Amino acid sequence: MKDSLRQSMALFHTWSGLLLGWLLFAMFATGTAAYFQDEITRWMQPEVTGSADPETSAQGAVRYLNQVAPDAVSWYITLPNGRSATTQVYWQPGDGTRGKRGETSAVLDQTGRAITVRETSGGFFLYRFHFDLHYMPVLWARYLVGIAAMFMLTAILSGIVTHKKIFADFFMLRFGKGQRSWLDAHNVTAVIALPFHLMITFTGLVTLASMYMPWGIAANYASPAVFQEQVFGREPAAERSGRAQPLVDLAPLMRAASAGWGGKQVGYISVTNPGDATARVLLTRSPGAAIAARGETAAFAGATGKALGGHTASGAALATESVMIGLHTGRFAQWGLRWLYFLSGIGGTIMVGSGLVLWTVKRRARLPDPARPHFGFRLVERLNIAAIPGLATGLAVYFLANRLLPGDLAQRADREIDSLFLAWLAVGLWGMVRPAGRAWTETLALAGACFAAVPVVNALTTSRGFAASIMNGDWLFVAFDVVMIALAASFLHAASKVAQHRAKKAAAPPRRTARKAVSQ
Amino acid sequence: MIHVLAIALACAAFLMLAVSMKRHQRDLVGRSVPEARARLARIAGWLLIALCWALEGWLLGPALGTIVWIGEISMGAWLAIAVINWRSGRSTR
Repeated sequence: MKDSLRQSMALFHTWSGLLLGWLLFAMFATGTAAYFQDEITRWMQPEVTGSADPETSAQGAVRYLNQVAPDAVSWYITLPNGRSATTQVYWQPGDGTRGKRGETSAVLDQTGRAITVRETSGGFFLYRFHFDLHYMPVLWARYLVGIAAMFMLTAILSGIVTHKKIFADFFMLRFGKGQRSWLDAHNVTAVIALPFHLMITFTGLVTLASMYMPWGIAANYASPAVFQEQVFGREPAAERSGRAQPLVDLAPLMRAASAGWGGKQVGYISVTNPGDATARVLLTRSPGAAIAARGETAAFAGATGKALGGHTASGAALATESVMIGLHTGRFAQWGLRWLYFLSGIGGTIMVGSGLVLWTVKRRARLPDPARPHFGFRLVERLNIAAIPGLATGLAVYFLANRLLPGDLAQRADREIDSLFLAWLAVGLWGMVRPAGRAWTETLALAGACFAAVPVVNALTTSRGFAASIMNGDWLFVAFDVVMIALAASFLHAASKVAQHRAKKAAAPPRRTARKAVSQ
Repeated sequence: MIHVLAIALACAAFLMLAVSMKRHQRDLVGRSVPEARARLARIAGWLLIALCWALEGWLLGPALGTIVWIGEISMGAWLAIAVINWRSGRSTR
């Protein structure tokens, strides 16, 4: 009975892991990178240096918006924090048009001057790709990602049942033993960070739960907007009165709100009807200040500064959701914990990748004619090449494009993103036309070379190269280079391992290696 | 810096647990360990893991402390695996 359960779970694990495994690999890889999205953005905007104070920045942003969009319906201000040095502002124009992107938003320094930075989506793109994908409607992407996450959750649970000796094999990672090594790598990366994998998959589903399961809201509220208003206190904007009245200084309001939240800082500001007697200021707690992602809010009358009350995620269900989203996104994490999140994410990426490779390694020995595998085998093998070295190359090219594309290129941010996908596509096609073994070596080496090129190109095109960054104590840029070099070394090492393995296989008759793998 | 200490503690904890297992004893200490000693190592390993949790819980509070602790023991386990691999590579060479 127990064995048949394990067998059926093994079968289920194999196929639920494989079917959307390539998408899961991309989700894990970009999601892992997104733990450093602010840092990646800073790397991709090398013009920005120093740090900024939130209160001064808020005052600067108001000065800027008063000049650029005094009659806007609303202003949205994202304040700098310990991780970012710029203020991002976005406004909804008063004439009712939605406005083109780039014409209704700006990046400011703390004095409220618009900074001319190279146009880039930075780390934010990697964060959004993680669940919105690209080149497709967001809604479809989110459903697809949700299905993949559900598969992931079932793959993890069935994987636990399938794994025969979780405790006995806990420390087993044997290198150079073919299929056994791949299984070890898959098991160890899965088991060591199992709490993380379970947490991240489940909470990932929770982040979009009300979209995947809208019926609770549909049954209890007249419309999603009513739900938003009642549960999160998002009131619709009042009519403009037409009586002009300047906005009060925001700094005292920020201090008052912060004091009400036990010292936690303000992260976002929105102002409706700025410059009008009906102006309303809504301050939201910074997501970095507590584990729960849904920040408390505090509202003030914009003309008088009178407190209008606030809102917190109240009730057990809402608080649970808020904490789960917070755990998933890790915005609360200080740098030490952030690295732990990042390394656990890398472990998860390796777990998915090794699982994909394991599918082919396991079946190769059993192929009737290893020289001419059947279509399904070839498809999986080629998709693995496209997914693993392909995405890695794409990410490296994304960073390279940020440094190499001309600064005045039209729609530069989009071109950077296109570069990522063009490189990814190119590697995928390369993997289709070359013999599989050789394609692995070549594409892994290419990914490694592209990562290795990032610090070099950075040093040549900016004044913030590795040596200069060490001299200036600019640890963000130093760490970025170190991570790029580590990735380059890993991919080049993998390429040389595959090449060695191929050379060994070419020297020995294929049947013997297969038998050896079985006997061990 | 507290992370470094906690990860080192967790690594020591997992090495203790590995020493308590027959298959890793020869690699780690060069001989097999009597059952009574192995049990002692097992208890010490679990106690160290619990100590890590107590430490982080005390410093950061139970919620944040637990999150940090899970990340740290994962890293500690990775380091322990690296040590075991390095030792077994030496003993077979």
